[in-house]
Amino acid sequence: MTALIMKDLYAIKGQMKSAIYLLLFFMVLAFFFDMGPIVVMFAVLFGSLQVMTSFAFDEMSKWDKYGLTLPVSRRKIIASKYVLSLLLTIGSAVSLTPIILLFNLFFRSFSTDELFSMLCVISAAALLMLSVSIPIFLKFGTQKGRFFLFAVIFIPVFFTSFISENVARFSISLPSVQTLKLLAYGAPFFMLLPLMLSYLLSIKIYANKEF
Amino acid sequence: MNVLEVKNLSKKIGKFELQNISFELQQGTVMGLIGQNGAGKSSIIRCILNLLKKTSGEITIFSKDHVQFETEIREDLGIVFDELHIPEQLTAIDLDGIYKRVYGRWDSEFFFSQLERFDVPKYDKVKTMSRGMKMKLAILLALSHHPKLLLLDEPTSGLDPVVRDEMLDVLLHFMEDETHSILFSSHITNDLEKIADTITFIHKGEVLFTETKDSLLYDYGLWKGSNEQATEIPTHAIVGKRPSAFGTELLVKREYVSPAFSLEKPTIEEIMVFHVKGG
Repeated sequence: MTALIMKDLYAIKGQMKSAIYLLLFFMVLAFFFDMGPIVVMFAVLFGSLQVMTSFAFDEMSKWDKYGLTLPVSRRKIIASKYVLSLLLTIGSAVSLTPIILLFNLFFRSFSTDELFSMLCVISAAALLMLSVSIPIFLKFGTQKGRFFLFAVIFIPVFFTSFISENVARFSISLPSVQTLKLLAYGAPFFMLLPLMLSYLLSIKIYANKEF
Repeated sequence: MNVLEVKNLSKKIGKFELQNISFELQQGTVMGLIGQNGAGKSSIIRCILNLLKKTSGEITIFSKDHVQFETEIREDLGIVFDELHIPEQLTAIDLDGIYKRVYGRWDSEFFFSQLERFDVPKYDKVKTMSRGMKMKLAILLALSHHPKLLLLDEPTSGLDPVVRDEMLDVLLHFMEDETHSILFSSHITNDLEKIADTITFIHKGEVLFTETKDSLLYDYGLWKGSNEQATEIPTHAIVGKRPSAFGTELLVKREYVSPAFSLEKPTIEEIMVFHVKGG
């Protein structure tokens, strides 16, 4: 499985380099305009987007047809994509935290406490997005899959923003800040369940796929 | 000993169907799968590799079921398709790092020495390589874990004669070991004429025949003459015919034709064309 993860990392290496430069540029820009949270979101989603890029590269070269002739089971090929997802999401959150903290020393956009809860919530969102997108990409490919993904992401985002804008009208009582913080810290762990379900679904889809 | 046995393989792919495909590949031999584009050669190889799930039939490789012992069998298989199918951002150095973690017997020293021998760059990305380079890399990747059986699916199509010749040399060298075998699908029959021991002819999803190359070339004869003279050849001897500048060309079975008729030795390509066009 290490070999398959290496294959993906080698494939996205070039793209990651240019994306890191772009990210650093956005960071400076965002801190100047006091938009720190957007930087955190960028940083974490940046990692998980690379998983999708690896699917696109596989598809372009028709890698699966060849990869499945190697002494590696279909299950391991799928497992490697999920391990890559966790590595890139957690990896980008962890490796970019010191840089964000450093920027924050100068610009003071948010407190450290806020930063960590934000990192947790966004990592959880990234994991949820991957949980949904990986089976979709496996089933429909990255081209068609993108349209499904738009729908899957847009609908919950739309409802969430609709509800949050109408909290008063629906007389919804929000939980306390303390509870929200706890929920935020726990969010990445809660997302392990959808990730596991997604993994099982992907194995099923891939087992029946023909190349 | 058979290294590969395909028995009554059937598979439906849309409107196309492989029907009761059966053949055996003996250890130490090269079998050429010939047939037109779309005859079903690639589908057979994809079924053998379980990339396509067979509808019915039995396939064994090294006397083991090809699905049940899938990963174990693949340690001894080398595969080359008509394309490299490797993400284009990778280099030969990257591939060595990956493959030594995939194959138990990956031989980095052999891989790098062969890259040098065939002028395949180590540090260039696949996307910058020519088609010839990519296919040379594909065959070296297939050989560097020292497999016992090579499955080649149209590996020489679209290559220039020099690269094709280099590839055939590599394959001939591979076959110097008597425990090695090759299943080679191609519509470029010249290549198969150089290295194949047996020929299996696939037409519209069915096996028309499996014969040794020598008996195939000996059993058939090519007759050329006028339309009038052609009527003297018994109809059951005629496999196929086509009009020519002088009248008619016939592919015939030598055993049914009188020695009085002068017959030429046909090429595998001619045997294939006449079979497809019919009598």
